[in-house]
Amino acid sequence: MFANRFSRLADDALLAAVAAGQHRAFTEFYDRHLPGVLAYFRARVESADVAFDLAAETFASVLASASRFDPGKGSALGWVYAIARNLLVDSYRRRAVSDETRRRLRMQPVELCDDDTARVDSLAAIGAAQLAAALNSLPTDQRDAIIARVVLEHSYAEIAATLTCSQSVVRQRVSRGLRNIRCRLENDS
Amino acid sequence: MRRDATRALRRELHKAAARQARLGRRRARRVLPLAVVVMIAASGAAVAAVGGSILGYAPDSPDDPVLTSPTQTAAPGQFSRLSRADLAKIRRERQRRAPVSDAHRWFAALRVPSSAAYDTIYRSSRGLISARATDREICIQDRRTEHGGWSSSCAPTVVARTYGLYVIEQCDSNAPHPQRRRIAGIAPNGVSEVRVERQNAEQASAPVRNNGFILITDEPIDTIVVGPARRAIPPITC
Repeated sequence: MFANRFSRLADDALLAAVAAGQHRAFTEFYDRHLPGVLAYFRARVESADVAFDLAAETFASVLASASRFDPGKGSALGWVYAIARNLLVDSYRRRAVSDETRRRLRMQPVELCDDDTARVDSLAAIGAAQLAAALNSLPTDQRDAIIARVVLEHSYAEIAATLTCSQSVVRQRVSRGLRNIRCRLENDS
Repeated sequence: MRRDATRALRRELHKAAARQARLGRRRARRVLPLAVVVMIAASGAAVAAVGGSILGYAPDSPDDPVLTSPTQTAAPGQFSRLSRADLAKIRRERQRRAPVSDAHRWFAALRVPSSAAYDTIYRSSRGLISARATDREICIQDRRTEHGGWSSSCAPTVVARTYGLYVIEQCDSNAPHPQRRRIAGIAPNGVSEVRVERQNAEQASAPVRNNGFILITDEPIDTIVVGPARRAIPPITC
């Protein structure tokens, strides 16, 4: 009953529900975003268990600070990835993954075996595939612009020269494409 | 049968969320009576303050100027208050229109894994430096040989090309003193040597090869010099 009720809610409504004390909303949020968050970390760190630890700390931080999320300042998805990025940078600096929030929330450590690392990898692949599917659903001009700019990180000037159009046209295609992807990801979730 | 790790994490998060919710309700029960008391006290203080200021600014005689207010008063019907639903609708629409500003974070998943994307630029008995460069950002990884492990750092390309980019190993609390400091990274084109100083006296130097260098020296040092760029290094803290 609860799963159905929360599965219809948008991300920001789920976080608002968590902040209001409806803890089951957080399970839905976790199920929805675990593959994406694992895909994000798996592309940046070398081992699956480090990616899993970072994901665990990310979700613990989201839970601990759900009441501070302000939908007026940006999307819930962007907020979650901002937390993820901060934890990643922090772990690079300290050369260790923090478990501060998990300990503060009195969460038990989760041990991983070989099957789990394989599962982490497969979930990360699902997350990347969702993103790739959203990218493939775009019109060709928007998809090419996003791949050139966001994935391959070419400059607008280079892309404009390759596509023989102005920089402002490229910027517009990237902006529209990203907006469409975001709508698609939010609707899918 | 063993529960898989993602489910175990889900269960732990669920329990933590339930604890948080219980804690929140308990806090609300404690805070509510206190808030009522504070509100009563605050309203009393506000009435006293307003009364005091009215009395303080009241004209003493008919010759005093008439008090005016800069506040504009809107005529009835000039504006209407938006309902919560309308405000939420406007917010949703604004979000829908806004382009995604943090797209590069999402798309990290589509890039090749970081270890594969890095090219080796410097290798010696002390370690290995690899780098990944785009027109916006340069990242380096420093892999140590003496006790394993790695460090990583990124900087905007413009900054790295001008000042270089390096990672500084902070300290090892288990190591004997004096501590040794390891600095590994890349130097701008044309720089052939990197040196470290203490009170303007050179302590150690390392040659730059293929833009990469690894310098290991004893503490204390306070400055690193990479070409024309000098940078103060904070003292070691364990």
